[in-house]
Amino acid sequence: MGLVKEGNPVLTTRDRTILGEFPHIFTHKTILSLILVLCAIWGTVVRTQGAELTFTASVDRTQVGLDDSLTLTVSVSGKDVGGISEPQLPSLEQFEVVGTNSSSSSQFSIVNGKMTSSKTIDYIYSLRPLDVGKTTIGAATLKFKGQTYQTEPIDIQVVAGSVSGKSQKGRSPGIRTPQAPSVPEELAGQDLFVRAEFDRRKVFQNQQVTVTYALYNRTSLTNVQYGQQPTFTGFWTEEIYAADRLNFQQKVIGGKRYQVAVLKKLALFPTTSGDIEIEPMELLCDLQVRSRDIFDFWGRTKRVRIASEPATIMVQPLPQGGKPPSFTGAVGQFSLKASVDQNQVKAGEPLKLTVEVRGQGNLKTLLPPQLPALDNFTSFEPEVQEDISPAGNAIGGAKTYQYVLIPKEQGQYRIESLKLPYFDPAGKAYHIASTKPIAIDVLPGEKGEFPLVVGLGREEIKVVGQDIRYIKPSSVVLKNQRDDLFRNRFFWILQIVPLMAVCCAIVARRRRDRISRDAGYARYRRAHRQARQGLRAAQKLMRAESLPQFYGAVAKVLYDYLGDKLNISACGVTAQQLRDELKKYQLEGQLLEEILDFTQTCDYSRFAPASAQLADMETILKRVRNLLARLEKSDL
Amino acid sequence: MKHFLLVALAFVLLPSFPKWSLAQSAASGLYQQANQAYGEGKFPEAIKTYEKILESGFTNGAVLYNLGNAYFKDNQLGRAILFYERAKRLLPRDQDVAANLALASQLTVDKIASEKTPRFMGVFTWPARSMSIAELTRVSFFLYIITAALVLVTIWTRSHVARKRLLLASFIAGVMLIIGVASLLGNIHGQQMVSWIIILNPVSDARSGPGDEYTKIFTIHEGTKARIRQQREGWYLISLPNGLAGWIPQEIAEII
Repeated sequence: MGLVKEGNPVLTTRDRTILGEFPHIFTHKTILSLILVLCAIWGTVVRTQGAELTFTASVDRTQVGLDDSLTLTVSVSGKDVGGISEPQLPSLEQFEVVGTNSSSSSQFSIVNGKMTSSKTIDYIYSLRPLDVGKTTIGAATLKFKGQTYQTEPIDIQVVAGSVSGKSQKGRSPGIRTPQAPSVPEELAGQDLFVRAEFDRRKVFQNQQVTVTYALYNRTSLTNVQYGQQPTFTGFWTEEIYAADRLNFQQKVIGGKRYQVAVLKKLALFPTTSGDIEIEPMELLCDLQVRSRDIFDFWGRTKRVRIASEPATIMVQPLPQGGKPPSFTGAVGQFSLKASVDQNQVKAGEPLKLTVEVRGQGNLKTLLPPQLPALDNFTSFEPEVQEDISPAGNAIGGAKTYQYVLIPKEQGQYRIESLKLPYFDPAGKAYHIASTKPIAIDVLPGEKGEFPLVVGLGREEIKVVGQDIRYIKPSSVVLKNQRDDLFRNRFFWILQIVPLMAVCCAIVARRRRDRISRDAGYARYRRAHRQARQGLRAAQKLMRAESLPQFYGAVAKVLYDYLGDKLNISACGVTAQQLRDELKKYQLEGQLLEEILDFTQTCDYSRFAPASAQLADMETILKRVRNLLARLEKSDL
Repeated sequence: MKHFLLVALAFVLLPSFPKWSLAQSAASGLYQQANQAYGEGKFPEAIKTYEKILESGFTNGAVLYNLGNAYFKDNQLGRAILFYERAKRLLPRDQDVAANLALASQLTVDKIASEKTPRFMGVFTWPARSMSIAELTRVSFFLYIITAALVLVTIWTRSHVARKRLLLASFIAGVMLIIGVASLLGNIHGQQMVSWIIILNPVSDARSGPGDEYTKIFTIHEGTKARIRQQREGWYLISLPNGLAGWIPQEIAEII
């Protein structure tokens, strides 16, 4: 049970720490797997007959993958085996001997006071199987003291690829621990190391490279932490396995037993060509240091930094020869399948076209396969579903594209086969995966149903060309638009008319306003008109030959006129008053005297009518007209 | 006075009417002929016919536009732009003219960044941009008559309420009149007083003075619009919207 104590620490993912805690060791799974490991080792042990010498052969496992190696241990133990010659191996036609090693140990025991000593020599052979199938490791022979010892043959089953050890059988398939890869000799000397194993180092662009990180340990490891992690620039990476706890497997390398645990397994898809460097992965390991102090029960630990070797991957560009024109970068092995949810559909109703790409390779970075021309269908961007998981070491699965198609018109249609060209890196050739054509029967759509989808397929009008707009048609009545109106002098002169009208209106309005406001002004304005009316009345009286009235009327005309003009009361105007008022105005020469003389004449004739004659009356009228005309011209 | 007004009206409204109608029938015939030639793709022939209409002293926006199209199709970009510009003056609101002028201007080699007028200025220049001189003349005249009539009625009305309303109406009419007249004067200035040219030569040099011996300042290409600042015998001093100025020979360009 020493194995149990050393192995199977637990990896806690939360703090990225791999802890070795004892209570966790005694889980059912671990015990079961350890028992199975022990069976595998000791089940094949064969003891030879004879007391002095024990000669056995054992293998670390009976089932082995082509990619794995097998350790054959032939051990000789007994008294006085010091000068023993190396046992003769059987003919190993199905195996290649990769390495040999040997170790020896001595035992002393005292039974019933009798001391016996024995020595064990282990001859260790690393074997690599060469062919798949059932094979047998024949008996090894040893000659010792004239006697020939023989081991029993061991049956070995060789399978393709790499297999997990028998210890894995009890585990649930979901968290299978992959088999640790083989180790080259130069590392076998160290006690603790981490190794990055690549399944291939020369790949095509987009071809998968699988890298496995494994921890090899034969020390008192208590704790493991991840340090600097590689960035994998230039790759698209997909995790195949990541250890949540370290599942150590027993492995003998170069005669040394190692606890080997796979930490991580990644699928890398190079996105560019060229030599790409992959940085080392660092681990921080705590080792227990045994202390002499008995009170130091737990002991002290020592931190060790280990790192895997950097590696270079040579990425070749995909060959140009034979590349299909529609190739979009799919590398791997793919198959294509297309189906519709119904083969009969009404026009205007949606139809689902499911295209499934299944296979191994760069599924995630795959572009959707080109849909064939579907003139009478409206198609929409596909809905993509991915179901990608690692199958063994290869990343693969299925990617499903679901297209919604809406037929526009009734009729018999065929969805032509879809094609997916891909490059098969194994065969180093291009292939085309294709689907079978699908027949669609479109029935006439119901009325009113079609407009429901009209909005979905609408798009902006695209301008595909540019040109000038077409000429104006001939039907336009051709009018001479040569316009010289603004150059026409008469047009501008004409603009004065409204302006003048407005000016006249303003002047007239102001005059009218004054008349309505100012009585004196009104009298002044109407004096001349009234005087003319008075004279017309006087003329009538003259014809009627009523002399006193005539003279009175003529005098009144003059008095009223002057009264209006001077804004004084006309009745009771005396000659003296008139003289005083008129003196204020500068009247021409004799006008004032003439006016006064005239009023005197009128008064005189009025009161002495006999002396008045018809001829005189006409003279009087002439005189008053003369006076009025002259007064009108004066500043009065 | 009354006789004078009548004569003036006659001058304004009926300038040589019989001569017009004669020209119109001839022009319509040529126009149809030219359009037909254009439709058949005989662009040089269409150009000749359209030009004949214009030579007879007859001007029409549709003819200018169609002639621009014919030049465009005949790969004479400069002349196409020239006639689109001329058509735009007569048909400022026509979308076809604007679209073709924009397209043709895009095809010119010289890309000149012009200083942009602020957006609020666009409100004030809108009447000037969207109306031709002829339209603005008539609109302004109409507004003038309306304003004068409103003022007259306002002066003569006796009712105080009516006077207030009339005063407001005449004020509005007066503001519109001022905008109209300002736009008209602006357009007369921009189109008649200031001369714009379109370059017709594919490539030509602008020099520092009116003569081939002067230093070359810049190269100017077909279709570019520029403003004339000065004229000397056979030479124009032009300035571009970005401020560059130089002398070019008169024969490489034509005034819009």
